[in-house]
Amino acid sequence: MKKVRKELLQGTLDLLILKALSTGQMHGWDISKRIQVVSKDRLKLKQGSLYPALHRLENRDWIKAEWGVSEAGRSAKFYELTKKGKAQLQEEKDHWLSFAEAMASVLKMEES
Amino acid sequence: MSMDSWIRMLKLRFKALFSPGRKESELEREVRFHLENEIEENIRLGMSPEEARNEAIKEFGGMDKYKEACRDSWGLLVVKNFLRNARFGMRLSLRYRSSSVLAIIVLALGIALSVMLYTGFSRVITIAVSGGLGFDERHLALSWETGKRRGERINSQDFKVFREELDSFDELVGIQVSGAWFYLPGKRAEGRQYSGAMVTPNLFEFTSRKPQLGRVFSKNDANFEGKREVVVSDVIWEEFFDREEGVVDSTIMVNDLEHQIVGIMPAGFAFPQSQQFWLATDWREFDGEKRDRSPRLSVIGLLKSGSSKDQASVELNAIAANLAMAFPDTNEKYLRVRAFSYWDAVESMGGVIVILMGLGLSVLVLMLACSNAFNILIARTAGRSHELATRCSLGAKRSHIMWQVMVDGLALAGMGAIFGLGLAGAGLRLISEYLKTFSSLSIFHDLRLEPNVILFSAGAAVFSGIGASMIPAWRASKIDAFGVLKDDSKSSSSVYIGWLSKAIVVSQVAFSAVVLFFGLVFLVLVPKQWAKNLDLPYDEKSVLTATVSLGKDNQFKGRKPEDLVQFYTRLEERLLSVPGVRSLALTSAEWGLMSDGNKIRIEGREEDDLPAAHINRVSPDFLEVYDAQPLSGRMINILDTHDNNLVCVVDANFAEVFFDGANPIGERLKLLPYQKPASEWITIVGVIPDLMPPLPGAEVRSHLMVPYTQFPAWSPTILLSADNAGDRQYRQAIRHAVNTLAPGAEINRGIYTVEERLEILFRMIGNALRVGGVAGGAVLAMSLIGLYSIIAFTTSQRHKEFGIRIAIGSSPMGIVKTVTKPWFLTVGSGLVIGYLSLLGLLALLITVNGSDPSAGEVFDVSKDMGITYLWVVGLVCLCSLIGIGIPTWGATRVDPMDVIRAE
Repeated sequence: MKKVRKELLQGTLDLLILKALSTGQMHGWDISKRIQVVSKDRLKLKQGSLYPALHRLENRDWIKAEWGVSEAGRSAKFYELTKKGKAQLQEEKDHWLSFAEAMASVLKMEES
Repeated sequence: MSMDSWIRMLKLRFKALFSPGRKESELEREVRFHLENEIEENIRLGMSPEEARNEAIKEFGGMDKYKEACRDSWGLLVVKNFLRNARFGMRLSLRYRSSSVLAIIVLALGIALSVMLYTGFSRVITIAVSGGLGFDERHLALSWETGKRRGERINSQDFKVFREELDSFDELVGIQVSGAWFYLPGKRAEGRQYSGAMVTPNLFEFTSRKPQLGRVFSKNDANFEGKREVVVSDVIWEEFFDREEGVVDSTIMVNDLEHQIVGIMPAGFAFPQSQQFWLATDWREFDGEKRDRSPRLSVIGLLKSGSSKDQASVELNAIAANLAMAFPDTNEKYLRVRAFSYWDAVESMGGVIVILMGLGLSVLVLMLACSNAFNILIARTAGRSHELATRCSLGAKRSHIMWQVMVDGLALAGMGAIFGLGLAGAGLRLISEYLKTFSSLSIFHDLRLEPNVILFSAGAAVFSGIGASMIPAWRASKIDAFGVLKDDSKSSSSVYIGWLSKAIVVSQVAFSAVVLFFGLVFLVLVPKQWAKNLDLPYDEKSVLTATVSLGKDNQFKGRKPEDLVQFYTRLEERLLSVPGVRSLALTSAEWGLMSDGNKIRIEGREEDDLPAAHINRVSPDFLEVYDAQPLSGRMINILDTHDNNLVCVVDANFAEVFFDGANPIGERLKLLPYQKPASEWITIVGVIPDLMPPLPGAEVRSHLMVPYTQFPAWSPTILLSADNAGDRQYRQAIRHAVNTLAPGAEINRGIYTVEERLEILFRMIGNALRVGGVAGGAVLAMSLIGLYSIIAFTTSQRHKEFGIRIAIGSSPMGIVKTVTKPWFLTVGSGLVIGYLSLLGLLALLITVNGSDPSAGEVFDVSKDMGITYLWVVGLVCLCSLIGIGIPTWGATRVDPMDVIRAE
């Protein structure tokens, strides 16, 4: 399966993170693995790029973080969506779906 | 954003700013956790630990890059950039040391002067607007409405009625301003006159001011039995007791009565104006007396919260109406009470304009400092052309280039502000110490840097930094990077120092010339002229003067001329019996020196613009005091009473000015706009010599003397003539005579000979001029530093050119001509513009004072101006020579081999 081009990913990282967190509280490594698994390896991020995005989303109050203990018993920073984050996720999802629909319509046009 | 979100966001920023170490360690832990998980995953997939680790790091990506991106997202980018730019600004200052020092000196001087001016005006504003005590709109001054600009004070009996019946006020305070002779027991002759007040005991609670030592009055302290109590000011504590700690409970004599000092107020407290002592009273001795004989008080009240000024006015007027009905003889005309706050008073007296002018002056001085710093900065920025061009070519945006230059300006302004504050603090302390010699200026006795002043200077620093660097920054942002990098020349043409810098130098030279001119005039010329004019026709040591406020004594309440005649006759009897006293007279001229100006209309002349003269009300023996005789006609005598025709005598100068030297005897004139009897014609009966000296502020020297019996003066000055009139016996005799004949009267500002009065006056004016001179000198120094800096910097940028010129055979004189010619032209232009500005300014001053013929006597415009301006030209040229000469000398010493090697 082809991997999605890097420049596409950069514009949608926030949406991917918000969507991943919509299923529940996760730490950063979990988030990167979740995205990779759910997208069937088509979306594979440079893992380090996740953390600036997480900190940025935290500053915008779309997600909140607290330290906890992972399944392996190690100290980890867990993130979860805030109320505002949930609203933002819905908004971005609608925007993305609308964009995708528009693109699909254009691409279905018969070539001359 | 909701409140919770804001709080969360602020907490994050706060944590990042103040616990950056903790944030860093959390980031480290997070990244480490991620890597550990990835490594474990890779090991589960079959990699060796080393391979798993390498793969994990590779998958993570640039760790430092992402960590930095995390830090940027913490919202500290602005702070980090600010700190980075501040460090850069400091490095620039160290790199261009000499221009940095000059810029800092200029900005420090400008900010110091500006801060001192601001502090002084701020103090005046605080006192004017709030009494210096934090008064607000609820603190109202009450007086009888009279239809005139000032109301009439309320007598003590009416005050008590208001105090009992008013509901809309929390407190009412009554104040009777009073002077007194203060001395330590047994040392009467060494005493001093102070202005103080008799007050209701709640005054200090009302002002919320605590004493620095002892206590103040309580509400029950109007005690007339036994020893009286007095609260004194910091000034009295210093002058009488040298600030000894054990002063509370000690005894001091106040107008020959024993008082116990119970408290000392802090420095600067002089409420309501310039009071130095306070006595508690309730004026009970006047209860039951005729109301118009009760003392008149200044009344201030505090509105109850919830009450408005309008409600209070209704209540006040209702009480006033009741008083008018109950006491028609005395209160018939007092039907309305005026209630106004301090701000209302300031506004009505045009104080707003004075306040704005004062603050404007502070800003003007700051702008002058900015313009000097501007020249230094534009020269520095020109020298950084290569650096800025390189930044530009590497992709720096225009805003970045501008910010780079402005950081330089802000760094210099910041350092200038720090030094300026230090200078200002020291300057304010010096001024406060000096002004402590003037008890009437007690509001300036504790000038210091206050929080609002420090805030002002911070604002001044930012304003200076931005103001001085804005244009150089804008110029730098328009730099032609390609052109500069291609062109190897280090000339200053890359950030073009052209017409703007030269225009600033020209305007600075012109401004300095004007400032220097007025400085020379007021510091040298005017005192010289005064000294020449003060060649008085009598011995100044032989006339002793004492100005007495008779109106405060009850016997003069009715104010009939016969009362004054009676007082003067008895005074004369007493004082002429003192051995050594030659003669005695009364005059209305304050201190015997300063008369009131008045418009006059001379019979037979219909002039739209009425001339003015000084009016002096005198007793018949006036000429005898000065050992003078009438020049023609006769002097005023005892037959010139209020029942007879109005007469006057004029001095020789009056005859010269108004009658072209012809004999004015028999001519008639009127005084305007006095009421009767001045609406009647006054006949000139004699001409006397010029006896009154021309003093600062005096509009004309022409004097007209009228009999005090026809134009009574209720604050006359006693003139006592004797050899060595300053001896203690004569002062004591005057004091004793006044205390006996008019116990309620006050002697204002001491008993001094004419010589001593002139010395006091000259000392005050001289010192004020010196302060002005120092300020003017600082302004001049700023301007000349600006001039030197730009010449030095632009000359240093041309060293390569000079090296080449010398190498191809140019003589040192040729180099000198090359450097100096353009700047001499610039300085010369500045001097010409300065001269023209001066002509315009003087023409304006003369036009404004056009009807004043003696304006030119103090200062002969045509002759003295030319000579004084030559001095100005000389001084400015000398300073410019230093400014131009030092870099020029440096230019002639350039070694061509060093220059070429450097290439």
